Amino acid sequence: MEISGEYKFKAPIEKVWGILMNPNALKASLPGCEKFEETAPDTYDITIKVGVGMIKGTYTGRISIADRQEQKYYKLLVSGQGSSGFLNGEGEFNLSSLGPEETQVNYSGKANVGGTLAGLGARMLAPVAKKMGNDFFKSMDKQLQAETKSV
Amino acid sequence: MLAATGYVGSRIKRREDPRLVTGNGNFTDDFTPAGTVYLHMLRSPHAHAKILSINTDAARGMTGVLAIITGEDLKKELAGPIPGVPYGTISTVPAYYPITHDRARFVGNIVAAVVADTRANARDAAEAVVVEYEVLPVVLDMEKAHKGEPTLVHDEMANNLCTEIELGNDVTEAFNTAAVTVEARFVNQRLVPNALENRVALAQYHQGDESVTLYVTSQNPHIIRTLLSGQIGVAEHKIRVIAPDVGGGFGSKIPAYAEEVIACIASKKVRKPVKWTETRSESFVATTHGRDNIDYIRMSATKDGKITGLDIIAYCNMGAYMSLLGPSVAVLCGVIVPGPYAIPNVHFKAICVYTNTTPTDAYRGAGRPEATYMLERTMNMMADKLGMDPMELRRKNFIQPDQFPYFNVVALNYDCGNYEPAMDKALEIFGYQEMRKTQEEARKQGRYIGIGQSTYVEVCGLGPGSGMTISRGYDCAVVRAELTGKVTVFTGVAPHGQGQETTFAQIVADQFSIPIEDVTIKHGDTEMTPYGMGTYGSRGTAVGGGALMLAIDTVKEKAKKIAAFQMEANEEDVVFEGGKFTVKGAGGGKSISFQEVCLKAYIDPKMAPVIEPGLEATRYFEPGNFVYPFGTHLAAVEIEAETGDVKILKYVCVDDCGNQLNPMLVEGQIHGGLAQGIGQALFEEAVYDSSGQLVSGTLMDYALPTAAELPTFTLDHTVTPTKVNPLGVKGIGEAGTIASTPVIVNAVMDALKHLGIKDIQMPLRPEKIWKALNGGSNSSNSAGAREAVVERHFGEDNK
Repeated sequence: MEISGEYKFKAPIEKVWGILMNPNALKASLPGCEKFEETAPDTYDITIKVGVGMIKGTYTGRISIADRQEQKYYKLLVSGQGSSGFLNGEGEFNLSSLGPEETQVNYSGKANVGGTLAGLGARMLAPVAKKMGNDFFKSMDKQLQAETKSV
Repeated sequence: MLAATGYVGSRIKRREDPRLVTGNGNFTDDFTPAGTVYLHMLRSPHAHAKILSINTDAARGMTGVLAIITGEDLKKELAGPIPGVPYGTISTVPAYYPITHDRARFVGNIVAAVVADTRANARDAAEAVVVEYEVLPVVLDMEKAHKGEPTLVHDEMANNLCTEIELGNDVTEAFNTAAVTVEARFVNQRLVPNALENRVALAQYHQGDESVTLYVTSQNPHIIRTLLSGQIGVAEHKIRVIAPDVGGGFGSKIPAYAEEVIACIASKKVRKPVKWTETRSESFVATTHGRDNIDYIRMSATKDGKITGLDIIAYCNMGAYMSLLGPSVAVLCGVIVPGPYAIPNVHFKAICVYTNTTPTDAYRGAGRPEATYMLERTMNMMADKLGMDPMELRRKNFIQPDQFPYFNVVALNYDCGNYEPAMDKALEIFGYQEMRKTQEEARKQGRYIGIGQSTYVEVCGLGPGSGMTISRGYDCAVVRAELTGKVTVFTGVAPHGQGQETTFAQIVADQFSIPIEDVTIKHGDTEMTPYGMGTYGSRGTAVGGGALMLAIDTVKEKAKKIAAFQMEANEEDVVFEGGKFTVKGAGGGKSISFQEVCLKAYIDPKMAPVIEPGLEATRYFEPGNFVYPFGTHLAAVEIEAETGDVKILKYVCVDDCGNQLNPMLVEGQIHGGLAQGIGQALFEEAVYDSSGQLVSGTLMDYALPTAAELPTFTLDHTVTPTKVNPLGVKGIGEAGTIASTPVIVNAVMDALKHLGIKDIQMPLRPEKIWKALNGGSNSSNSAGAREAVVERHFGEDNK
């Protein structure tokens, strides 16, 4: 399964980079995240509760940030498994400045799913993944704004 | 012979239906003894993976959890693995453990089981079990798997070969001297049986006498009892297996399954009744699949259309483990490949291969649909090559009535048959010649109409006393005339949709001239009936009905003896007619009713020194041969050029299942069979992706046919009774499935023939047809036209 998209932040690139690299923000942006523990630099053990239609359940796994290029590019590697299947994914994020107060993030990712999850086929999973991707950035945006306000 | 007093032969509504359609049935899941706890299976999401570790610590402490069983735990309790019956060149069966402990070999392979107080708690705890996998490369392609694939599903099985089966005679000369030959490669795609009721197991270990009761969705409870004994190490007389109402099986409820073994062992462990109920998405990966063959076929003929040779190499996908009858399905295919045609040289070779997929086993027709599909498709290709009408080619090659009993070269001795009358009747009802004209007219208007044919013979009524690969074949019946003149029958067959509670009652009522309301048919409980082989292979009435007839005869003999005693007459002078025993001849005229005889049998003290009390008989019937139903099916389809959609304009079938006990039930069986056969032709397909994930794993993604996609069927029949069983019946449970798949595909190919389209592999989904119409290739699937590939296959390698 492949997903891709873009998201525009109304903020300078260094701020966007900062929030995307912030472990607390990452934790808060993973929907249903119940556990988030750093086990190595940039690597976290996670437990996520998902509840979208039939794709329901607790997934445990690992998330890590790799190939960082300051304010330009990074990779997010995700692996998780639960009783209804597994998911292994790799996402690439490219940041570009559209102006002093505007930053665009282009993302594209590939995910392999197995078990009952795969049985549902792309028919159900792709829209779910798209929604989760969008929710992820919305949440990051919200935290960015909250941070800016508190500052 | 049948006594004709009215019930047999009539369209009596199924006696089981009022209970089933009003929610008063008793299915396995309806039973919940006090204290029942629930079992949930943790299944591998990987098609092939090494299990590095399993951590159950967190799960053990969760609410309501009573036990967590891993493969290692289970192995200690297990007496033997899940059995598979080997056949052919290889006798090694790799161990299939109910819970795997080393490697997961298909998506759905059980890696741990959780028992908890509720279904939800069991499921939650299963989520907390942490399994560490090392994902391995997968084996999916049967042909590659067998030739030099470095990955092995089972380390001990070289080339992923399960077994090879070879039947028939030498065809080399026939092909060397042939005037005309055709060759093809057909993909007979994998199907998911999808019975209405999923599988369920309820196991209860009785501490008091160390016995086990298993309620289970089975087509053959006695066989399951024997197999279970070998798996859980409890002696057979300490096991009771009950298959109550069962909601369809189509073969998928024949094999021994992991879950029932785990349930029994879990019940012993937690000392409570343990229930497992399969979900639909679980069923897609956990219940055996059907078909999945790649068939290479070549046929030779003389210039005037006499078929001289048939040669087949069939790759049969066994899945990751050998299910009970995995290779036997290939045997059932091989033995019937020559069909209804007198072909002097026939060779069949099956190459059964392991892959990282759900195990396969019998599915409605089991082997015979595969045989009929490739044969009937090839017949049409041969007709095209000869420039003959497909029906004329068939007529020319039919085994003639005076050739019976006919040995079909491969294995079988067809006892009787008369193929042309069925064909003629079908042609007439269908209006074959007019349809050809309609087709021609339509073509002029740019519309694509096609006509499809199948003249099949099948082999069923499994099975004869000798001649089967696994066991002698028989069934049994107990006929008990009760004190009050009512009759209870206990049958060894296990109907689960076939309707023997009705047909057997019709027979009993007629035979004793009593109202059908006075008859009850019982089945499915190993403590109630003698050893029965169950229901599959269209055997219920052909074999079980034979046993019933024998038991009725024995009861009648004793009843006659009692009647003679009561009337102080000679036994030879007593006849049973119209429900009465009457004294014939000089001094005759006295009579006594069947009901009075029943009463006397149990209570009359005068008979004490002379006749043993009671009035019942237990009889086994072991037929001397299989039975061979046959028929002709015809269909007309129209292809919508813009979308590639197939519309079935007309479907006519004339089947011959011998005597019909209840035409309404015969028609019901044919209708269901047609739906499943047409489903394979047009819609159904189990699709695995390149990593071995089943991507058509829900009823939204796996297209089952519904009434909306099917036409009104026109049914008729001929009657050629068999002498193999006392009723003169031949099974009809599978005929519809066996015949219909090639009819539809032949019709579609006929519609597209003039456009130069030679082959499209099943299922004929609109997008494949559209692609073919628009000049695209179906390269991934369609090698039917790639003659070089096929020719190479019959090269030296496979001689």
